[in-house]
Amino acid sequence: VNAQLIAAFEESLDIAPDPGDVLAGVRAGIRRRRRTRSAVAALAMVLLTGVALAWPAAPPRSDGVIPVGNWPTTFAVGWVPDGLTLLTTNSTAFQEARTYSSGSATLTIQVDDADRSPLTELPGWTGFEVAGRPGQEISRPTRTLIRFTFPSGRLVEVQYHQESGDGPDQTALRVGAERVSAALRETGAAPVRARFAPTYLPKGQRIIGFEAQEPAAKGEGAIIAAAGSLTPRPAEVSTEFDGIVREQRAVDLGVGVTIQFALNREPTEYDEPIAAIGGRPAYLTNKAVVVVSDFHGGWLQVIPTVDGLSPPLMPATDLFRLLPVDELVKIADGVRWTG
Amino acid sequence: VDFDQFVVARLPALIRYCAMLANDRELAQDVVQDVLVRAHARWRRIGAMDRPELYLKRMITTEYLSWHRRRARRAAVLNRWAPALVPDPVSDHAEGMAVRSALNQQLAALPPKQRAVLILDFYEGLTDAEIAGLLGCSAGTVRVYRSRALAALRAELTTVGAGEDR
Repeated sequence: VNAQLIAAFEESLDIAPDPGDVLAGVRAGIRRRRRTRSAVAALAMVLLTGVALAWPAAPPRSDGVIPVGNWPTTFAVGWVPDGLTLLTTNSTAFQEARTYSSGSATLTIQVDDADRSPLTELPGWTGFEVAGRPGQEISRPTRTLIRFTFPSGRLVEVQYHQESGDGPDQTALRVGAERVSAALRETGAAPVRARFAPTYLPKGQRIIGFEAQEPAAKGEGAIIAAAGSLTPRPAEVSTEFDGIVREQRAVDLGVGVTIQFALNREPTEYDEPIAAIGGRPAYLTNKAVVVVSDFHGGWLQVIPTVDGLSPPLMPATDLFRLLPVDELVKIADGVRWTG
Repeated sequence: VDFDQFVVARLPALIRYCAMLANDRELAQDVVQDVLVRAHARWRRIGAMDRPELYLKRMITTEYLSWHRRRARRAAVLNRWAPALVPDPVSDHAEGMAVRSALNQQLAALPPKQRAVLILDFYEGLTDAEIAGLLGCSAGTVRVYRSRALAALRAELTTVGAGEDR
């Protein structure tokens, strides 16, 4: 039965679309979403320029290292469901987030620093009070989402999400998300700190945040740099896979790079060897990402981004007009382990 | 894993899955594109999952099933006014299949959830619990779908194993 069914299904593969066509469609779709948002954002930018003008660039230190800084975490998580462990802590100039996972469920807590506009009414969401503050909640068998504002006015979104059929049921997701929300406090916790730093960034770019991978002691994470104004863009509302109507908020990031250190990386067929960087083997992957191996026992990647988009969604030819590969190599060459 | 690495590594597998599910090139392309565009917007969450590919397959399955429901509803309404102009909503898979095997044609005519269960089980090798998570139903319902699908295909399958019709 197995073999017959597999053979029959494989007959369908001759009508499978070309991956290149699909990728082009994905790129176009993402650009379309961004264009729609930026049209309305133009007006918002005029109004908000005073709030979010250029983020001051950190002056280089005498040893040439551009300080990444300690990125503050300004909320404390008082409780999470049993079995969940912290995966990432992200802190940027416009947002903070923490992700927990148990394998069968994921919990994400996101706090929006940039956009303090009030909660909007969304179909299917019901009013819900969190620690005496007005909020909204929506629950499905797949996940529960809760939104509310901290006393400072920052928007908080808690999502507790089932990853597989043996994950928590709808009631457990809802009760868990409600308890996590009630236990969130707007108080500082340990900052996230990078153990590596660039000595060179392209003109106009500055470091706007850091994402630490847990356990933080291993030093894995990503430095995020960008040249954009970080002006909030109008929220985008869309219906997601399980019918939940969701509001996504974003900011203007412009041209940027993500400098990522990871202990493990699977080589891909797209890795193309290039001249060694700092004496270490180096590759260009997806024709646009510089990868350096043997960097403090791991891998260093310099990933160009345009408004958050990176290869392969952003064609290399477009990227290189904004950030030539020589610039990426120069960034990679300048990264130092600061410990 | 970041979005780009994921796409480079897993796009062919997602396309294969969707092509088998939809049995229609344009539809498969539209579904995978839409799902990846939406996934990109919230990759921070998806990428942090243990098995982002499984999650993307769930999005693909849901998107395909919802497309199928929309099409069936539209066809039902139009059918009242111009039955001759509207194709049978279930027969879309079977279009252009004359040169394919009889089994493939029967698979194409299965209700979409039954078809999805067979692909996820026999081709993708997922467990009933994983399939249930993808389809948003219980593992028992998955077994019912599989049993009905195999019963419908029985004439074309030369041998049927013991146990749950596998």
